[in-house]
Amino acid sequence: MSHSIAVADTCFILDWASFSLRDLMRKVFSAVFLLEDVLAEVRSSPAVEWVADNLASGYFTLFTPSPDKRREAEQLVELVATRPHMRRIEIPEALCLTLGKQKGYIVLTENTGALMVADMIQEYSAVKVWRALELLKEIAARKLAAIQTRSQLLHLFQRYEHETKHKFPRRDLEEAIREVIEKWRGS
Amino acid sequence: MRKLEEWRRRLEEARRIREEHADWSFIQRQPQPLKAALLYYIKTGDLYVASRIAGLTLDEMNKLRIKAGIPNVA
Repeated sequence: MSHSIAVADTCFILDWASFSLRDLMRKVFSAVFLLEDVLAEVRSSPAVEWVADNLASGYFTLFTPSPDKRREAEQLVELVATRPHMRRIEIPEALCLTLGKQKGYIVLTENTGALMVADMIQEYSAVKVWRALELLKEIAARKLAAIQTRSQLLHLFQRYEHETKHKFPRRDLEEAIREVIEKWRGS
Repeated sequence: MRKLEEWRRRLEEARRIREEHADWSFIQRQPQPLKAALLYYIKTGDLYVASRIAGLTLDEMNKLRIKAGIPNVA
């Protein structure tokens, strides 16, 4: 059981909902906040059923930003827009990042711009931004799924890629596998 | 600067992977604004803005990118 809390954007939820081992998320986070726009943006099975089930059980909580939070997110969007080398972000990712910064929640997103914010903007450098890759890595490192060998580990990542039509950058994938195996050896 | 170069490399690699996997024949057959949205997605990987261009929900846009064979590279 974990006490970590996450805030997820809709793009992350859409892909993760298509993954057959999606409920392993419950072993990593004690609660997940979703932006309210998830309800407007997620319309089809299986994603909508999974979201509704998790809202019903209280595992997911809808987050409605206050005007102050929204203003802060707008400021972040503007800040990123003034930096020509950075990938743009929109209000949903900016809201997740500001929540991550204020509350220490792990931000779940597949948005490259959000990853760049945490990497390139000092104010947000403490925010943990995870893609599916990092969540799978955590699941594997803590042996929350029945994985004990390198080939089973690789299969976990490949299963996610196949089921969600996702591609992990090769270098990131190799690095993730190396880190998990190191953790196994150290534990 | 090294960080920036590394990000440029990553963004370029992701775009190349999306381009290589895309079903270009499917994309060319799409009416506007769906075609423009798919081309934008290939260039940037930004599903949210692509969905706004297409006038679709994120869910619908995600299904469209899968039909077009474009992987989510992240």
